Amino acid sequence: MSPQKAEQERIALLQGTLDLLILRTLVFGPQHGQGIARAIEQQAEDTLLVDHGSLYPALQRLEARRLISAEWGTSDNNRRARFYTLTRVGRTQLVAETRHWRRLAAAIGRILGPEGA
Amino acid sequence: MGRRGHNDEDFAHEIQAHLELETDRLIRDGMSPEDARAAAYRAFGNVARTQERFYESRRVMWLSHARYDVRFAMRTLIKSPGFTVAIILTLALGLGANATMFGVVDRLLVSSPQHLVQPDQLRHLYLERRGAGDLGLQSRRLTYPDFKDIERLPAFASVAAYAADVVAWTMGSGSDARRVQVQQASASLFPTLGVRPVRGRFYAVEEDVPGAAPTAVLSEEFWAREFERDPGIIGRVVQLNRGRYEVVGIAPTGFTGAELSPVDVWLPLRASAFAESGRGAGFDDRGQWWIRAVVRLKSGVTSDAADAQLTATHIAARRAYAKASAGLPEHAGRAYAEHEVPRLFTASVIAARGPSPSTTSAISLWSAGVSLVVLLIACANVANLLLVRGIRGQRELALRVALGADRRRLLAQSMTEAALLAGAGALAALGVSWGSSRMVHAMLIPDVAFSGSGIGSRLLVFVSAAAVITTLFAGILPAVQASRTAGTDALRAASRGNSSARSTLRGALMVAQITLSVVLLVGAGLFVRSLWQALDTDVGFDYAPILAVFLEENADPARDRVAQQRRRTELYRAALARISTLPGVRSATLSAATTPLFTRDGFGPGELRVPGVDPIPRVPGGGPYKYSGTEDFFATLGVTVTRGRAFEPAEFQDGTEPVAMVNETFARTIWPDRDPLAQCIQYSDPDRKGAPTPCRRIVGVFKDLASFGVDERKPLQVAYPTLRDTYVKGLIVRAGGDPASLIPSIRQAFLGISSDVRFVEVASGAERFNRAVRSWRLGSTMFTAFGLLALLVAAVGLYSNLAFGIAQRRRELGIRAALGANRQHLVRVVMAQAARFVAAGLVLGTAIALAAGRFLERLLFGVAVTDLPVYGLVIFTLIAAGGLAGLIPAWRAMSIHAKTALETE
Repeated sequence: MSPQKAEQERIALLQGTLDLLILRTLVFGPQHGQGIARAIEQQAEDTLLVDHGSLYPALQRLEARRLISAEWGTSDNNRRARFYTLTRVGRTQLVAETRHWRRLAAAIGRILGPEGA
Repeated sequence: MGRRGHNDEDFAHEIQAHLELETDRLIRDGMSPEDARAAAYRAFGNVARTQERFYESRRVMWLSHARYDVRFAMRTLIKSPGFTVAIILTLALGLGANATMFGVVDRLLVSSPQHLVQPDQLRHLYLERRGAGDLGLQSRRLTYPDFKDIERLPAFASVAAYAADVVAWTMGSGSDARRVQVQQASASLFPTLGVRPVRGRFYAVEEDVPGAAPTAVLSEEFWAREFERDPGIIGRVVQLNRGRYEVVGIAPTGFTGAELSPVDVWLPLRASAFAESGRGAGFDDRGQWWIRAVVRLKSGVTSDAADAQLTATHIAARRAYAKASAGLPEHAGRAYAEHEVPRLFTASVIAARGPSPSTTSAISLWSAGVSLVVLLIACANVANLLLVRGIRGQRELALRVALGADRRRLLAQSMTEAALLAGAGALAALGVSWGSSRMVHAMLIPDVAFSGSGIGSRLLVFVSAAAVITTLFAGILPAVQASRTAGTDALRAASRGNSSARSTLRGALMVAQITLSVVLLVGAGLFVRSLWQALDTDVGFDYAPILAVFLEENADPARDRVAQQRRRTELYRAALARISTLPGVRSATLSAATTPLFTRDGFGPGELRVPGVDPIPRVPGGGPYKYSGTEDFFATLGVTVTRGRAFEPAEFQDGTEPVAMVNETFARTIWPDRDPLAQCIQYSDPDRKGAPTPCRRIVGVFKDLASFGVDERKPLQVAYPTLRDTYVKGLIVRAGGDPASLIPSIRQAFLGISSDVRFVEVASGAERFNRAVRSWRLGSTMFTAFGLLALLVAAVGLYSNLAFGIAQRRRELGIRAALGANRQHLVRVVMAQAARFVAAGLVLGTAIALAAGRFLERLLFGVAVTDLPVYGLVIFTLIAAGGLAGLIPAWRAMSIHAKTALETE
C-alpha cells in the first residue's frame, strides 16, 4: 500500500484550479484521464484530493474550449484509453493562467502573513 | 448526436478505461482485485452523475432535456400503444366535441354576424306590446311607416330596414328555374353595417326607390356556386321572380347582413317590391309587420336614451295616424287597442343575446356546457390513466429518485408526456371537429350561415388553449405524485404495492366521472323523450304522405291583383285535374286558406264574428285561422272529425245553407258550456265585399291541427267549404306510396299546363315536420352523443381502475387463494369495488341531475324533468356498464393462482 494520507487531511481543489492543474500536467506529454489524476496527486504528494468523477467533465470542458485535444490510444499496460494533448492555445492559456495564479497566491500570502505568525 | 468526435458511448468507454487503469494501479500497489475495483469506483464517485454532467456540458441544457424528454416520452408511449390510443382518442373526442360546440356558440352567441364594423354600436330594433291581462308580445317586426317615423331620430348615426324574412325567389323560369334566398334590404344597410363589396359596388339610395332600374348584389358563395366566379358577372342581368335585375356587386364571403341566415341575393327593398308587384304594396300600410330594422347608435348615446326617443316617437306617430284614419273602415286603422302599451327598444345585434333567444341557441349553449363536462370527464380519465401507469412504473421511478435523478426532471418528463398526448389529442380533435361541425351545421342548424367561419383562428386558439389546460390538468397530478415520491420510502412502498393516498384520489376521480356521466345521460334521456314526444305529437292530420304544392306564375303586367289571382286559381284547378289522375296519387285537393304545417292564414279584424261572444278571446296558440278547400280537403289531409260530420259535397255548391266547422280548442274556448253544433259563426268574405254575411251553422268539430310545427299551445281554427270562385293558394296531394317519387311528375304536370308557370314548389309534409322538431333533435343528438361518450370514457376508466387494483392486490389475492378463499369470493371482492364507485356516482349524479333539471325545463317537450323511466334507464345503464367494466378484472382475479402470484412478488 502506498503512503497515502488520511482522506480528511487532503484538501479539496479550489473551484477552477483543476483546469489549471490538468493543463500543467499535460506539459510533459499526452496523458489519459487516470494518468492525469495520478500525476496531480503524486506531484502534490497526495495533499490534493482529485475527485476522479469531476475530472472528466473538466477534460470535456477544456476540450470544448480547444485547450486540449484527445484521441484514443493504448496505455502502458495495454489498455485502450483516451489520451489528451495540450494544444497551442492551451499552452498560451497555461502561461497566462500560471502567471495569474502566482500573482493571486502571492497576494493572498502577503495578506495572510508568514507561516506560523 | 455525435459532436466533436466524442459521444455518449465514447464517454462511457473512457470512464470504463479510467476505472480499469485505476484498478490496475491499486492492484500493483498490493490491493486484492476486489478491493482495488471497489476503491477505484469509490474514488470516482457517482459514475452516472458524471455521465450526466458530461451530457449536460455539451449543449443548451433545456433544449437537450426537452429533446430527450420528448424522445423518452415517445418511446414510452409507443411501448404501450393501447394506453396511448385510449388517451388520444379520449382527448380527441373530448376536445373535438368542444371545438364543434365552441364554433356553434361562437357563431350564435358570441360573435356578431360577419363583416360588421364596430358591432357594439349596432342594435336590432324590438317592439313590445303589452296590455293589462293581455299576452305580452315581443317582436322584431315593424311596419314600414313605423320605420320611417324613427329613421331620422338624433340618437342614430344610421338606420337600415330589411324584410323580416329571407324568402325563396325563383331565378329563371320553367324547367330550369331555381330557388334563391333573397333578402330585400334598404340601400342604407351596407353603409350602416360598414361592409365593403369584394367586387363592383352595392346599390345606392337612389336605386332603392319605386320604379328605379332593378339592381342586385350577389353573395360571394352564390356567385361561386351559380356563376363559377365569372369575373364578367357585373352588369349581367338575372331574372328573379317577375323582375330583371342587373348585378352591380358581390358581397364578401359569410356576409349575412345583421342576421345569421344565409342569403344568395340582396335586392333593394323598395325597387324590388315595386318590380314584383308594380305598386308600393306594404310601404304605406300600418298593418303589415314585415320590416326589421338595424340601427347604429351615435357614439355617446346610451341605449336607454335611444329607447326613450324611439318609444315617444312611435306612440306619437301611431296616435296621429289613428286620429287621421278614424273615419276609415276598421281594418284599415289598425291602431293599438286602448289598453295596449307599445314600447320600442334596441338590443344587441347578436340576436341570440336579445330578449327572446331562439330555442336553438339555448340548446346550443347547453350542449356547449355539456361538451365541457365531457372534456372534464376526459381529463379526469386521462389523469387517472396516467396516475395508474405512474403507479405501475413507480418502482422504476423510486429507483431513479434513489439513484439521484433530479425531481424537477422527473416532473418535466411527466409533463412532456402529458403535453405530447394532449398535442396528439388536439390534432385528432381538429379532425373530429371538422367532421362533426359539418354534420351539426348541415343537419341540426341548417338555417344559420357558418361559411367563412370554419376552422378559424379563434377555433385554433380555443383548441390549443383547451389542450394546454388539459395537459396541466391531466399531467400535473401524476407529475406531482411522482416528484413527491421520497426515494427509499417509495421504494419500500412500491414493492409492497401500497399507496393509499393515491387510491383515494383515483377513487374520487372515478366517482366524479361516473357522476358526470349520470348527469349527461339523464339530460340525454330527457331530450330523447322530448324528441319522441314531439315526433309522436298529433298534428291533427296524417302528414307523412302529404305533399304541398305552391305555384308561381309569370305575371302579365296588364292584369291587376284580382285578375292575377283568378289566373292563378285557373292554373291550380287545371293542375288538380291532371294530378288527381297521376299514378301514385291517392287524392288531391286545393287549399284556399291555411295549409297546415306550411302556411297560416288568419282572419282579419272583424272578418269573423261569433254571436254573443265579442271580442273573440285570444288563446296562447293564436288564431283564429281559416281552412278551406275543395271537396276532398279533409280526406286528403286525413283530418279527424270528433263531433258532428264533415262537409258534404253539396255544401261546396253556391246556394246551399252556409256551414262551417271549428276545431276542438275553438269549441272549448268559445262555447265552454254549450253544444258547438247548435252554434253559428258569421264570416264576412273579404273577396266579396259588401255581401251580406249569413250566420254559418257549425256542422262538425275537428281535431286541433298543428299550425307551423309542434306546439303544446293550440290555436283557434275555423273551416268552411270553398265556394266556386274563391282564390286558391295551394294544392295538397296525398301519395299512395313514396311521396318523394311523385315530385317530378307533379312539377311536370304544372309546367305542362302553360308557359305562365314559372316555378312549382313541392314540399313534403315529413320534411316540414322534421324541421319543426329540429331543436329537440339537436338536443337529443348532442346530449345522447355526449352522454354515451361520457359513459364510454367512464367505463374504460372504471375498467382500468379495477384492473389496476387487481394487479396491485395480486399478492393479497394470491394469499387469499392460497388460504383457500373460493373464486366466487374473489369475484365478489372486485365487483364490490366496482359497485361502490357506481353507487357513489349514481347517488351524486342523480342529485345533481334533479337539481339542474329545472333549468332544462323550458327546452323540453311533453316530459317532466323528474321523468321516472329516464332515471330508471340511466341507473340500469350505469349498473350494466359497471358490471361490464368489472367483468374482465373479476375474471383475472378469479384466475390468480396462489403459487404464481406469490412467486412474482
